[in-house]
Amino acid sequence: MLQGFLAALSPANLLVEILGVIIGIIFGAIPGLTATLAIALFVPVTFLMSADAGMIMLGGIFAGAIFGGSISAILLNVPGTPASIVTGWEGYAMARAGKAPLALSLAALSSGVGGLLSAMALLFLTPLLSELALTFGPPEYCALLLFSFAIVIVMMETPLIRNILSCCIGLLLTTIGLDPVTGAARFTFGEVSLMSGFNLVAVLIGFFCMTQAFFLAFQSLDETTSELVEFGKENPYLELVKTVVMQATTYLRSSVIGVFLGILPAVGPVTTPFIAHAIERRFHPRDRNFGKGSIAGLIASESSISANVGGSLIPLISLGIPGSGAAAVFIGSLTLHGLQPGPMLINNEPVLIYTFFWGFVAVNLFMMLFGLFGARYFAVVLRVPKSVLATFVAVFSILGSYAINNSIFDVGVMFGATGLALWLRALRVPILPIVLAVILGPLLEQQALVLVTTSSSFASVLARPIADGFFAITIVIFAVAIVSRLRKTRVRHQRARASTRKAE
Amino acid sequence: MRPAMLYFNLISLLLIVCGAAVLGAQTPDIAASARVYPIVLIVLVVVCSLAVAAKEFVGRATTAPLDSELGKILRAPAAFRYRFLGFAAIWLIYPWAFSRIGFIVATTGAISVSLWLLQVKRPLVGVLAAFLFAVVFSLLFATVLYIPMPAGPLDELLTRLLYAIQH
Repeated sequence: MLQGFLAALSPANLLVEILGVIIGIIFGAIPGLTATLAIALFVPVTFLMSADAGMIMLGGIFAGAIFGGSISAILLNVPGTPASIVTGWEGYAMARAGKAPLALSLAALSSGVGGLLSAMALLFLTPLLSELALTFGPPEYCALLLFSFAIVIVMMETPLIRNILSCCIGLLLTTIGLDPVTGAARFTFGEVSLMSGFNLVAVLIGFFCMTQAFFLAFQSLDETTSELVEFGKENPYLELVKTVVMQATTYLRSSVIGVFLGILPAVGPVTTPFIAHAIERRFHPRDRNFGKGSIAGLIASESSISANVGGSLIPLISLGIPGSGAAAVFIGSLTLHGLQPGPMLINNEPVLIYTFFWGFVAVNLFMMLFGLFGARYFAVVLRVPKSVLATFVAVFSILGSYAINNSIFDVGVMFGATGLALWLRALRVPILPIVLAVILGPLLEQQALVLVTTSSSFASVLARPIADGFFAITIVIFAVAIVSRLRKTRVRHQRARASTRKAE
Repeated sequence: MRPAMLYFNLISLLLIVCGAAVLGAQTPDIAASARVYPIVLIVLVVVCSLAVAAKEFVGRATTAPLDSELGKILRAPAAFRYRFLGFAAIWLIYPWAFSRIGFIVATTGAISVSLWLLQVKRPLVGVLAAFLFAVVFSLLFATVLYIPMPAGPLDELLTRLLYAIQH
């Protein structure tokens, strides 16, 4: 741990920490550019760095982008990333009331506190979870993976059957290439380039970057310029210190919620602030500004989002299961360096992992400092036209996917993934289950095959309490989701029938 | 739901089923131990697709008819749509172009046309910026990142210039 701490403070790593945070804040501040897109674009760049520097840089981009989204949310009421919608409710109202410096500083401080607490959770919970995961055999892994898929399938708002279809399409895509156990070629149609399957990074760039380039291009064609809120000259720091004392429990509560939700697969930074904000509302029944300029609401939103970032990295490092879409893209960087996320990672590469953990602590400190003292300067990037953004996201998507193996085939894979993402979007089939399936598919197949060949009977699988627990939770989750959705549909049909009767 | 959307959804789901069937037809050529898992997935994809299609067909689909972002593109004025399609075409052609005419020319051309299509305010500045970007990245790829990019006449000239400076 000490070695990791010292390595995280080396000049080279300090440089990538600062660089990552700055890049992240810039990407996050620009509406239309998300944290996932920023990470996906920079994954190929990390190939040129050492594994620890690459991971720290992506951690900086992730944390910075999540905070950066609040700048445009507060100054323009246009969330820079989808995670900043709730921040926009509270922050923009404060900014319009002439408190833009306080709102931005509060966002920076809350993000910093949430991020630091999540970094601590990452530092201390990941080794524990990894140790527990070392006792896992194929039954536990299969149960855990099915549980992860179940959470993602249930959490999406689209109909369950479409989410399951999305997951199955993703799993089927991972079967293209060589079979992970016997090495037999499957569905390659004689194409040598398909032997190793689709490149994960190229697929992720297609899903998250090129699709966004197309949407940005269209948005640029009817772009309307939004006016920035007058920044004001007040000094917010005294009031900021006051909030630390008065709202300490809000910071803590929202951060804990953020970390917890981050650990769960699929509950990414987009959903988290809504839940944290709703919970915090119960603790402030007399706050009439709640939802439209409340300090507690802003703290709840920002602390929980940033805490979610670290939380989503805990299952990623310890189990190999990403806690959010952006964390999923992180895996691309690990695979580029030949590292397999999972419980063995921390045992095989302890210095690398602890360097990353301490680097993540430093990243959150830098993010807080840049946010507190430089947020107003980052607001300049809000003036970059979307036509320029769309063009450069497109060119970097293509160059990034080409640079992975210097292969035009990967560019084709990237375009294929873009086409698939747009097509499924038109079909209202969500993309996140596919992303998770593409990442976890090979592991599921491997573990399922080992389970089938090594288990003598079904009873031997049932004798594993952790696996049983995960299987039971998975079944309960599905049952609850099906019942609640059926109930909602029935209510909707009853209302529709009642309104038709009224109209008649 | 509008009939056009219904047809699109049904045809799309049918295509997914066909895709799964094509993969299914390949499974007899795969070693026995390696084909069980994909067969299970193929069956699941077919069953889920047919279930979604059946739900759409009997009109029980309750979600919005089309994704709002895609809907905006489809409902946009023709001029916007052509420019958008031009943008998509440029970036689809770009990888093919840079492997034939070289990185610098293809990148300068693609960025300039893309900016012009998206109605950037100063297109000439766009061309200059695109050329500068292409040269800087070509140098970066050659000297720092060591990524071999396809070379055209301008790229070769730059390489010779670099060689002359270094020696």
